[in-house]
Formats: sequence, C-alpha cells, structure tokens
Amino acid sequence: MSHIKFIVSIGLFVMLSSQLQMFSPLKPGQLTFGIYPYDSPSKIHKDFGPLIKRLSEEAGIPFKIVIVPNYMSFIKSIGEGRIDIGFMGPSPYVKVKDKYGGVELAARLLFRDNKNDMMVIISYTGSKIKALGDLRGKTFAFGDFQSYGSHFYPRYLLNKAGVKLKDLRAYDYLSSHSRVVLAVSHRDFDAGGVRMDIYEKYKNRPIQVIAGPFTIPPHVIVCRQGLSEDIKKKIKETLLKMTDRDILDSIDPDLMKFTSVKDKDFIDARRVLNYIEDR
Amino acid sequence: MSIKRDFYKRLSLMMVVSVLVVSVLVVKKERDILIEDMQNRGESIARLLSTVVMESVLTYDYVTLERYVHQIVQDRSINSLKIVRTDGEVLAEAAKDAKKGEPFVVSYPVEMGGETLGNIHVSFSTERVNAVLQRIIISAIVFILVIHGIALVINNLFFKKLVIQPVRMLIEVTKEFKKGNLKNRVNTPKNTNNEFNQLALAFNDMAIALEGSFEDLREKQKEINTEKTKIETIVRSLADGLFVTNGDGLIVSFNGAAEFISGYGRDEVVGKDCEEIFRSRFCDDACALHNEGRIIRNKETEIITKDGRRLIVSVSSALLRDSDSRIVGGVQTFRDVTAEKQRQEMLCHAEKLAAVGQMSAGIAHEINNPLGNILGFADLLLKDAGITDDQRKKLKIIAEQADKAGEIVKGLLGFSGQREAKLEMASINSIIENVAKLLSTQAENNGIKVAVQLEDVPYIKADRRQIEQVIFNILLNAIQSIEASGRGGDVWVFSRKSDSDVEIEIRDNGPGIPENIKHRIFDPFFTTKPVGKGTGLGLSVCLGIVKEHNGAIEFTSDSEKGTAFMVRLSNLRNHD
Repeated sequence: MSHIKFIVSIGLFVMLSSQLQMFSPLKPGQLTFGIYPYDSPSKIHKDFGPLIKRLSEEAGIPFKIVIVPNYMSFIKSIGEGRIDIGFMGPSPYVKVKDKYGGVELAARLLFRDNKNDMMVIISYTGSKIKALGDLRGKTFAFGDFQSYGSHFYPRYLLNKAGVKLKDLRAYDYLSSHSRVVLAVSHRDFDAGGVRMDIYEKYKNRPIQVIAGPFTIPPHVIVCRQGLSEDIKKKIKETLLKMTDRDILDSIDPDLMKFTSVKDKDFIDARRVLNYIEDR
Repeated sequence: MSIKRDFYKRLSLMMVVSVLVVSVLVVKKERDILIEDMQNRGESIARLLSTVVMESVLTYDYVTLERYVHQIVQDRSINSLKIVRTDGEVLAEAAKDAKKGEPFVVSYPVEMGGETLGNIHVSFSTERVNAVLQRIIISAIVFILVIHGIALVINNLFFKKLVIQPVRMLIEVTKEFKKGNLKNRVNTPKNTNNEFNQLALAFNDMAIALEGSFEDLREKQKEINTEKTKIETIVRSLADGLFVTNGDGLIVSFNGAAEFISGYGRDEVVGKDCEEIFRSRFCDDACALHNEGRIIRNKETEIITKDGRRLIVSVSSALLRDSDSRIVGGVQTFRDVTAEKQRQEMLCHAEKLAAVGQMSAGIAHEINNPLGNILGFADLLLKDAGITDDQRKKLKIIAEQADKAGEIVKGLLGFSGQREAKLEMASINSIIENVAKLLSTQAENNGIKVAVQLEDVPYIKADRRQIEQVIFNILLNAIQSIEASGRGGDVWVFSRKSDSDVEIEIRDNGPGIPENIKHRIFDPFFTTKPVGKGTGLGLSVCLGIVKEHNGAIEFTSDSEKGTAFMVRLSNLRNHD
C-alpha cells in the first residue's frame, strides 16, 4: 500500500510542481521554454529535456521548461512575453500571432508520413455512425477549446457536414486528444476528433475512423518577438541543423527533423478559426 | 551401535522432525500473514484508486486513470490491475508477464452515492510470498542446524563426561575382572549422584561380593584338585584296568592298567565306544550303561587286545550319577584272569590226566598179560602147518590186532609214566633231522615242504626214543592236518637255545585247530581222525613224555596262520 501511496504522491507532486514552475523565479539570464500540456508533465520533461539541453548549450544560455496548465494560459503567457520560446500547435500560434503579434516562427516539426499534420473523426467500434452527418443527435467529444486538431477543425468539419453544436445531443471539451480517444472507446461519447498520431497510438482500442484523415497545420517552435536576434538565430539554426536521433527520438520516434516554416502555412488555420469563432 | 551414536542418531532424528514441524507451522502462519497483508494491500490500492476512477469517469479522464493503473502495476508484487465498469467495459487495464506462483486476486467495488460504478481487480504475484517462505524455511533450517551443531558440541562434552567416561571405566574394570583382577574398582566421584555413579557404586558392591565368592571358589577348587589328584593317583596305581564312559557310552578316562591289559593307549580309546575298542561281548556283559539296574561284580567276559589276543577279564562296573541322580556315565574295572583261568584248566587237566594215567596203568597191566597170551598162542597156531589158509589169514589178523593193542598198552604205560625213560646225552638237532627225514617222503608225496632250521643247541639228557616220538607225533599231525585240508602247505621245524632250555618249534600253515577243541587236544583218546586212523593217544603221550623230561608243551593255533607247537626241554644235567 505504501508503494501505491508513494507513486500517487510523486505523480501528484510532479503535476503540481510543473504547474507552478511558471511562477517560480528565474535565475539571471535564464530563458523559458514553454510547452502546452499535450501529455503528463513528467512525459513532457522527458520528451523535450534533451532538446532543451542542446538549445541551451548552443545558445550559451540556461533554459527552463515551463509547462502551462492550458492552451489559453499558454497563449497569454507567450503573448505577454513570460515565455521566451514555445512549442505549440497551429491554433495557439494563430491566436498569439493575431492577438499579440509578438512571436516569430523558428521551425516546424516534420513527422514521418505527416501523421502529426493530420486529424480524423473517430467513433467506437460497432457504432452505426458511418459519416459526419450521422452525428446529428449524437454526442461528441472535443479536446481543448483552443486545440486546432481536436476542436476547431472537427467542429469546422461538423459544420460543413451540416451538424452544428445545437444539433448534437451533447458535447464536451475533454482538454486533450488522448482523453477524447479513450472516452469514445469507452462509449462515453459517440464520436470525437483527434490528431492522426494520437489515433495511431490508440488504434488497437475499440475505435474506428468515420471521417478523415484531414491535413492540418503543423506544430511549431516559436520565439518571443523581443528575444535578441542572436539567440533567435542560434535557436533557429540549431533546430534546422538538428540531426541527433536521440534528441529527435526523445520527442517522437517518427519525428524526422525540424524544417523552416512560414506564417502563410497557417492561412487555412486562421480561416477555420475565424469561421468557428464567428459562430 | 554405541550409546553415543545411538543417542546422537535419535537426537538428530528429533531435531529433523522438530525442524520439519516448526518449519511447516511457521511457513503456514507466515503464509497466512503474507496473504492477509496482500489482501489488505489490494484493498488499500483499490480504495485509493476508486477515487481516481470516480473522478476519471466523471471527467472522462481515462488517460490519467490508465497512467495510474500502469504506474501501480509497476509494483513488482502486482501482476495485473483491471478496472471494469458494471456493464463489463474495461476502463483501464495493465498487466505484466505472469510470474511464478498462483496469482492472488483482490476485488474491490467502486461506489458512488450507493451506486456501484464498477470493480477494481488487483492480481498479486505469490512469487514473493513463496520466496519469503523459502527464505524462512532456509533460515529456519540453517538456524536449527547451527543450534543443533552447537548443541551437539555441548552435548558431546557433557555426554563424554557423564556417560561415555563412566561406561568406558566400567568396561575397563570389567575387562580386568575377566582377566581375574578382582581387586579393581570403578572410581566414583563424591559430589555426583547420577545414575552412572549409582551404577558404579552398585558395580563396586558386586565386585566386592564377587571377590569374596571367588576366594571361596578358589579354596573349593584347591580342595577339589587335591581330591582329584588323590583319585587320579589311586586310579593310576590300580592293578586293575579302569575306564570311565560318559552318558553316551564313549570312553572319557582310561588308566594305565587298562592300557597295559588292552594294549591300547589312552589317546586311542578316549572318545570311542568300548564295543569298538574291545570287539567282544564285554559291553553287553559288564558295562554299567548296558546293564542298568544290574549289579556287576567280578563278571567274567572277554576282550580282544590291540594285538588280537583274546583275554578273559573279570569286570566290576557301576553307574555314575550327578547330584540330581541323573545317569552321566559308567565306571568299569577289569582284571586279566586269562592266566589264572589257564592255570586252573591245566590243574584240572593235570588232575584228570593223573586219574586217567593211574587207571590206564592199571588197565595196561591187567590187559598186558592176556594180550601176551593171545599173541603167543596166535604165533604158535601160525607155526602149525595144519591150519587152513583162511585160518592162517584170520590168525594173522588176530596177531596184528594184538600187536596193535600192545602198542596201545605201551602208549598208556608211557602216558601214565609207567614206562621208565632211558636218559642219555642226546642231540636234539640230530633227533629232529632224523624224524624230518623219516617223514619227508610222506610230506613230499602230498606236496608239503618240510623246512628244518636248526640253531646250535646243546646236548641234553633225554630219552632219545621218547623225544623222537614227541617230535614224530607233532610233525606227523602237522603234515596230516595239511593233507586233510587238501590245500597244500608248508611245515617248519626250528630248534633254539633259550637260557638253559632247548626249544623246539613245529609250525605249519594248515587250517589250524578249531577253537572249540583246543582245550581237549591233550586228552587221551581224543582224536579228530576217522575211526581206525588214530588212537587219540598221540598228543597225550607227547605231553606225558615232555612232563617226564621236566619240560613243557604249548601251542597257538589260528585258522588263518596255522598252528605252532612249542616244546621246551630242560637240560636234565642240571637236575642230576
């Protein structure tokens, strides 16, 4: 019993402490690397630890990982300059760029088969739902409200299929892609929208794709506008030249490399966001 | 097996059994404790997890639920963990490779507001339980073996001092006792009163009593030996033969006189049956065991000596009994009375001969004159020419028969000593040669060889004609007995000098004299020859002549060896 208590306590402690990291004082000259909560804090630390270390070495400046509690907080923190460098999806990028204008794209993540740049609409195995239009009167699970792949774009697809929120019997925001997949697999919801790589991760569960895959904008690493050009340059060069498989595999074994990215790559995303938020 | 080994064997067996019993009990108890602990842990995990489950279900956060489940299953004692909703939907599940040992599953319900949402199933590996139990068993065995080893060493010291040493001391003293050293005693510590010390004290008391008894026994033994020596001396000095048999009739004692009489040494007879030794009716007639209930006193019977002589013995015997009057053997004494019996027979014979002689002399004198007349008148009538041939023939028969009767009368007179011997210095060898020559023709005609072996013997004073008659009669008998047997044979005539006497031995290898007539061969008119072939006076006349010459005549006869006559003649010159 003591083992379980210990494990649970450690887990809670790590989660709590990661949430509070952004409020811990920075050392002089230290930069912050913000990451949205796509997974558990410990997993995020483990995934990005080697990259942060390499960037810190190349830039000659100590880095500190900051895991923000949610997408909104992340957008606000990086927009207000409390985070110097950030790893984020298309929706937060568009939000920060359009609302605060203070971020600069450093590089995008390029995955094998572009599976991170696609999303699908899923239902549970054995469901009679065969198309998006069949979701009328059904329940639907979204991820975070600010998530492009599990909220804005699924919702955009539903709208295009003629199913509006009010047409759904119920819906909810479950804050992450993984939660959406598992909630659908346990039949808490009839369907949900998730990124392709998350679907791949749980594809042995009792779920099935009813729509997709659809291409979505990539995840990116951005720099705060006010960060020195020298640092931004070093960070960008380091990312683009990154070939160390240990570092890439640590983030995702399917991550092939970092490549350059332009704001125009997010034109569709911006259009979808505006489309949804206008309704 | 020594006491020590036996003791340690039993102690070890007891320890092994105790180890097994204690191990089984401890293992069972410990297993119960571990299982109970596992049950408690399972329930605690499930209780804690049920809160997470409720929150996850309410917030659809199965990711967190799965993460917890996977983290919990990292515990090495847990095989698997499964959270199942009431509708059977598995909300989270994690499992490791099944470990050794039968799994132990704890199930716990997830309840909210009195409603059961599902169940948590925690499967524990009993491998740890088994490993713990195994360690306990090994530890118990090692512990008990160490304790046992220490106990053995300590017990060995005490056992050696309290048991082994006293027992060995007892054994040593007992061995000394066996050697006859009855003065030895077992040392008894004064400040100890255990069983071995009591045993030693009792042993010493017994030793004192034994020593006293042995002293008495020695005294008794001395007395017995003295008496035994006396008896042995008496037995040894007895003129009579004595032998003792055991209950089975086997000879156990044989004195010197018995050896002398029988010719057997003591070693030859001890352990053998007296019948086997004496080869006669001795045992049936006189042995105590063979005549139980009869009083045997001076009973005459026979034995056959080692060299084959048949002796007449006078036996007395008695049964030997032990203190309980049970018969344990017999004792026989015997005396050789052969010579005495022979003397008695000879005396009887002599008296008989004397009577016969006197009668014969009287008869001879009375018959001699009528015979002279018959012969004279028969001769006169034969000279008469007027008689017929038939009458002449009959007269000749009368004359011949009268001559023959005259010879018989002469013989009678000779036997009775009525005829006076004409003594002169005579050569025995010359007489023997003459007689042998006289009979050689008859012998050769019957295939009988007469061998004469003469020593240089002195002249003796004797009636030459009478000695010739003696030698002639005996030699003729030898030849005739061989003739009668029809088997052929040889005759030897020896002359020897013996002290002042001259011995003449006439030996043949004929059929011998039958046993039943041996005592009658010197009787007058006793003959085995057909009627008309012998007068029965030959040997009786010889006996008379030899006696006349102060000599002696003896014979031995055996059906296989033949017959030998020994004539001893004294040199009469010494008696002049």
